[in-house]
Amino acid sequence: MTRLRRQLLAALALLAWVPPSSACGFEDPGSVTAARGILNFVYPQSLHVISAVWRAELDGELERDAAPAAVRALVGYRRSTRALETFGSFINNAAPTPAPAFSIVLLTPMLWTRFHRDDGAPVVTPHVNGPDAGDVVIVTDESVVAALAKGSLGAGRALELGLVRFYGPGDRVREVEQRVYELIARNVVH
Amino acid sequence: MRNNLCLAIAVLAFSGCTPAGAQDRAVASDAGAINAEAAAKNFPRRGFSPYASRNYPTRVFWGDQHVHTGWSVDAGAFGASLGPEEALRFARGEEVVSSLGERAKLSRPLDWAAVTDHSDAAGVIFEIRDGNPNLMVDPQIKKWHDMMKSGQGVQAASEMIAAQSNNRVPPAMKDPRLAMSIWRKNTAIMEKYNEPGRFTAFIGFEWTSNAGGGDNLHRNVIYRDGKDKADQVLPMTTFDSENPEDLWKWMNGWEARTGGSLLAIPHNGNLSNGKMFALNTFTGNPLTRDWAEQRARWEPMYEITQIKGDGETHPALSPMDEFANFEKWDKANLAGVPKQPGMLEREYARRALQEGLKIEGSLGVNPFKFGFVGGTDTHTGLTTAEEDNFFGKHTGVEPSPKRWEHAVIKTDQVNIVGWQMAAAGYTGVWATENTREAIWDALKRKEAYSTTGPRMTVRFFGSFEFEPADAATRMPAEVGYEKGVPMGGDLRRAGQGKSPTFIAAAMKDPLSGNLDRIQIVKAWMDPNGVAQERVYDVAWSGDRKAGADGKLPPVGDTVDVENATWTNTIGAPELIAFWRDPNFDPSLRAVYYARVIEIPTPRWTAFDQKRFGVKMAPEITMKVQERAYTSPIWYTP
Repeated sequence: MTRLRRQLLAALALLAWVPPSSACGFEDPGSVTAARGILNFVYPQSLHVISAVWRAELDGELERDAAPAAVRALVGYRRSTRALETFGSFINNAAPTPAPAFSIVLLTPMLWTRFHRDDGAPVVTPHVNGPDAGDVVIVTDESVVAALAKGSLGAGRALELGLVRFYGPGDRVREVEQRVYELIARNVVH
Repeated sequence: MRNNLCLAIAVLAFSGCTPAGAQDRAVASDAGAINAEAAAKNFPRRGFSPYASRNYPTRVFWGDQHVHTGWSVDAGAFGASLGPEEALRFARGEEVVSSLGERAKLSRPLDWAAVTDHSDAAGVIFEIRDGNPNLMVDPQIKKWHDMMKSGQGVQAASEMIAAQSNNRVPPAMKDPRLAMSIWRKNTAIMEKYNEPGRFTAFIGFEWTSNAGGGDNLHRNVIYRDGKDKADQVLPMTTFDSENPEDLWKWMNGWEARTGGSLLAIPHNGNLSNGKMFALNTFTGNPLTRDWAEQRARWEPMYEITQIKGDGETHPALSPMDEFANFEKWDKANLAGVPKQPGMLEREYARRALQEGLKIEGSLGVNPFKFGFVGGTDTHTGLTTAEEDNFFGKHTGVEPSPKRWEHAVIKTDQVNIVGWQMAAAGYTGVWATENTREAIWDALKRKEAYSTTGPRMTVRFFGSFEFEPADAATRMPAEVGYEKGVPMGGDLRRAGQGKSPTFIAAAMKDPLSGNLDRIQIVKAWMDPNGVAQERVYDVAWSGDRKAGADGKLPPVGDTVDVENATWTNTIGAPELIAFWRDPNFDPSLRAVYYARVIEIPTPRWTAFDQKRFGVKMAPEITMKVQERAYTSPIWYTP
């Protein structure tokens, strides 16, 4: 091990750095802290979603997942990907034109899911390493997509509360945001 | 102060021995020419106001010398978005928004702070993101910058970390000119917020030696001077060396070049796996007199308490001390490497004070002659040490319903979890004014003390001449400075039949719990070289009586954990005591410090449990007895 490498690892060990990997937090909750932290650097204020979520939970706007950690680990991935697929399909179907490619990251498990098109057909790819270049990035969390998919939380309210944040090239972000507002207007999501 | 005391002695001697009418004659002394005019100037006749003409420190200035911001590589990686500017604004009492989007404000402003980001690659990643033109000439760095701007920032950050890990960092990132430009940005921010008389912003950095494997030998380097001197030399990094002796050489060189002054404050010996107070040098050689002189010179203070645990002592080292088992992180080092037998003895402050006495006996110099400071070591930019306002170690454990169970250090053998963080601490400095110079000088002479968060006012004086009546005054400092030395001072060569006497006084923090007791901790080496210690209760609330074991009964407990509250119906708002060492041997070196204990109050975990409506595991500590540790007073035969 080189001296620099030793020093870097030791420096990162200051705060119990866990090396980044393709694992998500469903597999190893302790492994994703740094991956989550980097988001705030790359997508400024994206981690504000974390506080917005617990505030919404305390205010009763979001349902708190009271399941023990072991249960969440067991069923969380499946439950989240189902909710993501529903949420993604809302956006894809909000307008007749194809939606730009976008990726959603759920902050608690740091689960990235990509929504894009292959030969014109919408494709959902969960558990990817991150967004592709040019993707719109949507930062949110498990309980938010679950509530949106279930209809217990309106998209407009989610935006108001800062539970969902958009990042990426301006025109594409606007397009995805517009789709959300169209959904709200059509009462597909409230 | 010392000059004035010398002058006083000279004047008193002069006045007492000189015939009337001869006072106008000047007398030359080490303190200068003394005549009636000089005497009147330095010792004006006491008038009506007892506060007029005092020339000793009369105020405690509260601060934290250990603040990391997003400019520290690790803090940034964990999501800290607040930089030095926000950290200082917060410390001086402004409301800011935390990295997780929560509004944050201190209950009361601090008087001073030192932002001490890790010197290794401080701020570089922000320069890449923001497109520093000097960096953009490098194609690899430009690519990372472009990736960040095109939605591939996560990949870019991962690539940068991998490049650093594999020592393939583009040369531009290691260019000293870049480091200097970032350092100068930092010092400019410190200058902007340094307002003499109102708020002191120290220039500083952390030199983060892990001795190659997570053994914490970190030091915070604090500058007495301003940007003009600080900007002349780049801070030392661990890329240069991980050996503390090299840091001292660097400090020596810096002072020689700039004419300024530096001190270094080691911290977290509890995570050094036996290296912080090792009885040999970094390279394994025996300690020498020169080594001891260097350590004593450059490291006058030690950070005894902070978020990653309390470092006063340990139950295994102080089995008779019922308050020793306090906020302990004692399983491993920073990298999770488990401790081995014999390591605890070289990690805690009280044992180091004892060893220092022993070393002084053999080498003639005490290398571990340090005072105590408390700090946060926050990596959020938010220096919060109050239980009800604790923003955590890093952004991953900023307030949230699940932070208590968040893994902080996790390996196959060690699992340190969020609830184990200690909401600590601050430093109280007895200084004459709120300026860099006055506060730094007080730290240098060790006239400062640490607390685990509350802002208790604590005085501690030693003398051979105190009497019980001296503790009856409302101004203990008056008699303390007149007849003795303050915390950080020395008592030498007890006269025949004399024993050290002490005045210890404390007032509660108005926002915190009442006081349980004041204790004086005495530590010494017996003639056989065996470490000895004894904790004396010297003042306490109520009419408690010591039991057969000599121990005072507990003060009681009013904490309502469910509602995270307590009442000050027990304890005392203030305590003061005169104490004479009853077991004094004038032939043995000894060291004394005061420990002030509060009544039990809710720990930050209780506040979290209440506010977030969560139920934590039953084994989790929900109460705390906050405390203050004064810097010691040493006795030398």
